[in-house]
Amino acid sequence: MLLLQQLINGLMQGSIYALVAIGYSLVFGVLNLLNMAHGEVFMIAGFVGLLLILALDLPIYLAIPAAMAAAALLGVIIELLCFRPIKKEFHLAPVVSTIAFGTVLVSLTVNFIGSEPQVFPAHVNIGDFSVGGILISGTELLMFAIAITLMVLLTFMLEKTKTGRAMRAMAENEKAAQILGVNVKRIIITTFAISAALAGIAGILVGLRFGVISPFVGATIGLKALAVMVIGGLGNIYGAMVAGLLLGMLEAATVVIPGLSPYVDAVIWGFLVFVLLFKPNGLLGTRVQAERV
Amino acid sequence: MLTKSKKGIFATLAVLTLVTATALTGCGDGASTSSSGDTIQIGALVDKSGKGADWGRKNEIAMNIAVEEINASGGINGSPIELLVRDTNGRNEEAVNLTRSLAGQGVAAIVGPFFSGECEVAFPQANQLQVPIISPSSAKAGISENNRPWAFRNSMTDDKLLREATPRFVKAFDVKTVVVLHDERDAWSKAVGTDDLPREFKAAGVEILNEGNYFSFNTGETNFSAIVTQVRNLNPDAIAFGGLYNEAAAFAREMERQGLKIPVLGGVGMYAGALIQQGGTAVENFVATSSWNVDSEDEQARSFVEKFKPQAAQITPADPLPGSFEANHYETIYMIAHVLEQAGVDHTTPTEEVRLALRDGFANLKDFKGITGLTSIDEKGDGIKTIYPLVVREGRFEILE
Repeated sequence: MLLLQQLINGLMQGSIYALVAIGYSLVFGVLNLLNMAHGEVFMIAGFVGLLLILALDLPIYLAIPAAMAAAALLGVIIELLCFRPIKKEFHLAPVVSTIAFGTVLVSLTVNFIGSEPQVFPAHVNIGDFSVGGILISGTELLMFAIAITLMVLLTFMLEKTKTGRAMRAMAENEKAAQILGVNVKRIIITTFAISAALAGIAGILVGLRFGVISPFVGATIGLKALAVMVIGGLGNIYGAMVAGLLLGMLEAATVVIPGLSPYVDAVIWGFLVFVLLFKPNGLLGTRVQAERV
Repeated sequence: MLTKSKKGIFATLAVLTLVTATALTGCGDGASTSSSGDTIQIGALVDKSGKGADWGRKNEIAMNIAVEEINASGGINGSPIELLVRDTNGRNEEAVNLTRSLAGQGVAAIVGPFFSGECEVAFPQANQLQVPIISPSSAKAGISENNRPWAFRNSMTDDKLLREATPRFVKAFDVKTVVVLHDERDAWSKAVGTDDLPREFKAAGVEILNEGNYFSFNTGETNFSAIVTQVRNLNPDAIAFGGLYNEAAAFAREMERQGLKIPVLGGVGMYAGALIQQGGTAVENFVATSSWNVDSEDEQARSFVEKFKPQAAQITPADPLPGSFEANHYETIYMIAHVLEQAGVDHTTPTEEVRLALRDGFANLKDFKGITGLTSIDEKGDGIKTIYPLVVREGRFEILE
């Protein structure tokens, strides 16, 4: 019973990581770029959702898409400011500029809203339910379902749609794709918008689940999602899902196994090193096109 | 092609400028205010832009109220006080640098820093530069003691607070078994959760159910589901919580969610209006220790609360009342003024003499009457203050009888 509850706790925490990491992986898989402000997009979306709920008394089913839209817009802004003006060859520059952009977002939030976590109104939440004595959070279950659905949808999109094909072509070879008539700029913007929207929905759902959102949450979640992406396989969407759930369960395991609790960070990052030792490309291999022959 | 690469370089430069700019804004008011030479300068280290920004800004408000009051009543022996506030961003290295720069500017004393982690590195620096440094908030045992004779704290360390509060808690809730957990990343919380709380509970004859396996979390954690599940399984009478109020509130909400209704004892870092604001009904029977009672009948205390509220409401509208940190910041300015007045110091006194007067005055401070009650400084350099174990009952802190 205890172990089953802990397994559920871990899976639910893992679905948060998965959702954030899938967006990370998408940008990396298609564009070979790292957006280090991804965690801050998550944070801003949480705040946007909260402000809409507080100011306009929006119901949850409207606040969630609104937060996603705000996040998508932020993703587009990040692309235009931090990626587009910078040459592809300067690999480090967009990394540094997105770190800077994320820092600016945190600083603005601290100055305009405050450093303390902001509280979601108690009446706004998706309830919990209990199955045979096991407590399951409705919000987390929704997050889990969304993560699975998105994973399937994204894979379908990449495999079957025109945009998806264009994305895969870009992942393969951007120059060639451009010559063959792929609208590279549009694809990049689309990729960023989708990726940020995923961080956005995670941001507001996490806020709803735990009742608070803090301006500093982005750094933690961003770093964890980065670990998840590397463990799963750079740019591999299935990998991000599997590794996210795995990491959530690993965290719960450190609480269950006596004496391991203070070493939770060592366990997670040690696991990353361990995986890379034996599978240098991550658990499920790398990049979007790796799934094709 | 050329323009493209130029563009890239420009963008990179722009980014670098941005990074440098943000780095610089983190360093507080960089430029030193030139003193007109007819004031007594006191330095203050607060975190106005980092993890404790809301606290830092409110600490500054509290100190400014004290400075205005003292200056309005003629200053220190006729010399007005000038407060030089610096922003540490909550970072240890910044606290050290600013201690150095304030000492170089010839301040009489430094009030701060805020976090115990900052104090652990700033105190040795102040001690070496022979400038009195007084933290109104740090409560981790032993930090002043390791940096005699220049470091002081106008706060009760947790070992003293919990020695008093734990037996009272055990008796009030009839506690026989307890589970311990702490914040692994915060120096203060770790000391409370791994030393002070377990020691005092054992002394009170309470069994610790997770002895040798203390649960821990990281600062900023909001997901306590796994820990609460584990605690529920151990089925203790109460919980010993070494952590700050944000994490305590998040932990409380998860307790409520999983139906775990037992009392919780924490230290000074758990006492804040925000604990109740964030925790709502979940923090019922949470007990925190404090040396400040916001409902104090003392006239000066009440006037301070009234002046403080409207200004603090602009920073944290949901939690405008002064907590123990703000009260101690206000009081510390008065303490410095009191010691300097006794020593006959004014703005013409050489800096070294002013600092020596403060060092000796603080070391021998007995029964100073401030808004938190009577304060003395012990041989370790820490405050001996009135103790209030405060319990949350129906959304309000009450003194635990």
